[in-house]
Amino acid sequence: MSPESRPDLRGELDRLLEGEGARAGYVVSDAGMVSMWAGDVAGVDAESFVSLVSAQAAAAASLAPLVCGEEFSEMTQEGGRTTVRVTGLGDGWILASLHDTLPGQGVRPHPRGDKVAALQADLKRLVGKAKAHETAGGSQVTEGWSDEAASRIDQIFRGGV
Amino acid sequence: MSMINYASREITCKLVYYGTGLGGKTTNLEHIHSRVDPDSRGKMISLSTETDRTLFFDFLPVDLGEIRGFKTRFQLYTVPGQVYYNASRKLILKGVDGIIFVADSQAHRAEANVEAMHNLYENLSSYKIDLDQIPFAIQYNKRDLDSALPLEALRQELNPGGVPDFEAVAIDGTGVFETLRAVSKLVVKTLS
Ligand SMILES: Nc1nc2c(ncn2[C@@H]2O[C@H](COP(=O)(O)OP(=O)(O)O)[C@@H](O)[C@H]2O)c(=O)[nH]1
Ligand SMILES: [Mg+2]
Repeated sequence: MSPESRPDLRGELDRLLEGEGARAGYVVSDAGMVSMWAGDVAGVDAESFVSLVSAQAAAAASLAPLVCGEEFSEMTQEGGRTTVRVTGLGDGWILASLHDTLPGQGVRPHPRGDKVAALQADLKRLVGKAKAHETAGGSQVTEGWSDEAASRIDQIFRGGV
Repeated sequence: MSMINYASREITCKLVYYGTGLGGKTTNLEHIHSRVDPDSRGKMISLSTETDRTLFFDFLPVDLGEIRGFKTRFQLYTVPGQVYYNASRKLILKGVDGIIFVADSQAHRAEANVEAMHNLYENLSSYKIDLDQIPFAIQYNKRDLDSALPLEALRQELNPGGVPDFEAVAIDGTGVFETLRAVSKLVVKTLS
């Protein structure tokens, strides 16, 4: 159930992820929905992954002020083969990126200082474009959508086996 | 608040099951998971303690397929009911499109139901959401138990405004889909 990305934004995200040494990444909105993704996400259950990662990021965002009086700008979870990194993009948006864990070395170091600021600035710009695009092109779904959705609800939530 | 992504032509609606601890929220989701066609639903995630208490949330995505060019899906969440997990509850309400309040019909849970309802109002107001303005239904669960209060007593206490309400026995599935259908339809109505 991977959502699609717009090809041009996806190309940009691809380049940013590559610069980061990431295999793949999801840009997730403040409501926990995928806005864009890029890279190799084969074998990732996108919905489970994103719901867990955004819940965790939201929890961490509330947690940080309790322990250090500020925000965590990123979180890293290292696994044997893959490491997940969550980078805050402001307004509750996050980038969840997947990195190969290198044998014996962990993960390629994350850029620090100016570089991470530049990365975040690039990502924020990308998110801005995505938001603009998502809300463009009409304010409503087409007429009749709700009726059709209601009958689909009857069908899928009918409760029989 | 539903997420409509015009770029990828996707609509995602978030439904949250709210209510006092042990009222039957997780049981609702488990029943839905067991009865929805596996082609339409994703994996159910339950973040719970060893004693089966919901720790953070349960999550079940359901795919309604493509509707007039939009890939449409529902995401069902439950919240942890324990009083001291309020921070988690609040997080899960973020971006909510519809709410199902699961009340425990047992007499000795009457006060806990009312507390949970107040807590819901309070948490929603921190997101500037008014319960009167978003799709909302109440489910009186555990109707099978002898200790269940009469329906009228529950209504008076929990549903003075007369929102859609349903009796249920979530362990055998009674009322589960009726409640879900009602709120889901209210949610899709708000989109047109
Ligand atoms: N008798 C009865 N028990 C129920 C019903 N629904 C749920 N339960 C039981 O109540 C307990 C708590 O349910 P659970 O779904 O975990 O509650 P939650 O805390 O709201 O998620 C479990 O032991 C369920 O089996 C019901 O309709 N009738
Ligand atoms: Mg539960």
